[in-house]
Amino acid sequence: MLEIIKDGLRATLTSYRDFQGTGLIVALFLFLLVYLAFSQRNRYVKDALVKYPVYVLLVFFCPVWYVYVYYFEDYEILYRILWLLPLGVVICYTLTEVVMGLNEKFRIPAFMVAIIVLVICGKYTYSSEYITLAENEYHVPDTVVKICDEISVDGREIRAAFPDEFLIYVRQYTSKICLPYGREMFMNFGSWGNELQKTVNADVIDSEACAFWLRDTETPYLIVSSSKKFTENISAYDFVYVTSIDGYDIYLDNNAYIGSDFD
Amino acid sequence: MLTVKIILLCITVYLSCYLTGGLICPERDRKTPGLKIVYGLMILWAVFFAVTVVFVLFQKRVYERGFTFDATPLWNASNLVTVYLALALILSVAGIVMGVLRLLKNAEKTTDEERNAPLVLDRYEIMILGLFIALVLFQIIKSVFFAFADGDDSYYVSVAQLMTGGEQTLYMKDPYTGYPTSVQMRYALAPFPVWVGTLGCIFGLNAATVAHICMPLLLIPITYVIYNAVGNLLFGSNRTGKYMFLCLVAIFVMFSYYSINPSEVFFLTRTRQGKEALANIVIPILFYDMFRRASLEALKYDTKNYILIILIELSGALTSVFGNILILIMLFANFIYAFYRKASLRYKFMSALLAVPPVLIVAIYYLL
Repeated sequence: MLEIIKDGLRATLTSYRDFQGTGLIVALFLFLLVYLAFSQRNRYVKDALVKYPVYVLLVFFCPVWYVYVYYFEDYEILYRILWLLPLGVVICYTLTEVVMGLNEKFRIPAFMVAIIVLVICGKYTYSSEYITLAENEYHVPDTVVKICDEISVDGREIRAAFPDEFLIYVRQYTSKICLPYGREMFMNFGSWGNELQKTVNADVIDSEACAFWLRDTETPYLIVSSSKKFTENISAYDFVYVTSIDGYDIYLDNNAYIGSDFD
Repeated sequence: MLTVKIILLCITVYLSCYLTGGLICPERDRKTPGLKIVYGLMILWAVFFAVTVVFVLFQKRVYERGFTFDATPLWNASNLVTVYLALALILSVAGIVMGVLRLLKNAEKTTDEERNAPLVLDRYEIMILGLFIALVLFQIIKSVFFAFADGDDSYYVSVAQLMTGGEQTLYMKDPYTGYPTSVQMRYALAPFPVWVGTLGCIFGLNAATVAHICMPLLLIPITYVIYNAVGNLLFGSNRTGKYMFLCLVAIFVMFSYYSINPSEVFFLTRTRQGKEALANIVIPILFYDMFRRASLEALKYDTKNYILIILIELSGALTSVFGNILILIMLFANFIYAFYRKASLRYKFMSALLAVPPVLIVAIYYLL
């Protein structure tokens, strides 16, 4: 029982800490919540923008979740309870009310100050390192599109081992290219392709092991960075070099039937 | 051709939502076309959820009885697309018929003053509204032309891709790899990616294009429609206040990257995922509905309003299984509030009954 409480409390606090990030926006929200509680005259607005958020916070910190976390779900989704908080509405409404309460000639400067407060307390979403100019209409790297188009076979699926950096993109672009291992590799779910993934992504690829695991997982295609070194030439294991695309080499198992007679 | 298809998809979805929304739109929201679109989306999502879950459960049953899929093709993905398309068309036509009937009925009641009331904005309002529109356009352009690399897409977009790639089973192939797998109810009971895939099938677009380009075009404006409705409740006839509020919301959203978890980050970077739709459409529209009922409608349900909340619940279920829990938390707030405001016994009873659909869905999740 004590363990459930300890784990649950830790999970809740971790979720809250992760959610608030720098903490400035949440601090601003809490400050404006208190301000609104004392300044707001409209009871319905007060119910929706003060009492309801307090209710959500009470629910979030309620110990019932400890049991839920322990028996049903991982704690990582607990932060979603905080999505019920109307953060933006409370902050923006209160700031607007403050600005509108001023003399007309001060409104524009006060509005600018409100914008600056939001900018300073928050962080620009598009500053994320994961945001880049889209290379095509699929929002996956062009290299992935070119490689998939090169190895795809009309009328059937084909399996290919890709380096880790492409795993999240391949099957977003096409379901006709299958993978011996996917993103679950990084989520500790385990997969058939576990050993193959380690081999393909090693600094120096063990050619014998690589050929063995590719055949074991019925994977005719291997895609590796052109800069990767093999312990020996993989052609010794009957894998032939097909072509290179954007710095990635494509190899094909010479013994594999890839269904090219569909063409 | 691609651009034409994308535009066609967006116009068609907006139009069908608008027409369908007329079926359920409460009286006081009828003059707000944007809200009609939101309500229509709730209907179409709820219908899609119901149809897809039936298909998934039947497929699962067929497999568990040891039949191969080819022997029982009735519950395949192509038929799901056909059934959904047919239902969406029927609902849209019903919306047109109801709209025409309402127009004929109310034609005499509409005064010239109502018909011709122009929206006159002063310079100050034009400036703030202009800034707001520019910010929303900026966000849409950023979402369409910039890619956000997110690992979860390798599941959700790949599920949609299986649909457009011609796969006939639902949730029976591991989207990460393509290996056969058993149905995971956690995902199967929240088939938002299948809806994305279905749109791709209907309009002949790659699922990745629908997810990464069409979804921001469709869902970002819809969220702002809901913020606008909340602004109407908060500011009433004070247009300047409302535009200023909307402007600040748009800026707040753009500066919400103080952590990776706020709903606003999902709004701008993961618009194609069910979680985003839950956090930025379903939860806000339910919040708006509760707020409106509390402030303007003296805690009363009419039949349309009651059905609308059930549709919102089913839409929440479409987006995420945990969404059912979040909706239950909101409904419980509504229930407590009914006691606090000393609402009628009928209202309290009806409020309690609203918990049935999400409880049932959660029960199915844990029992199957």
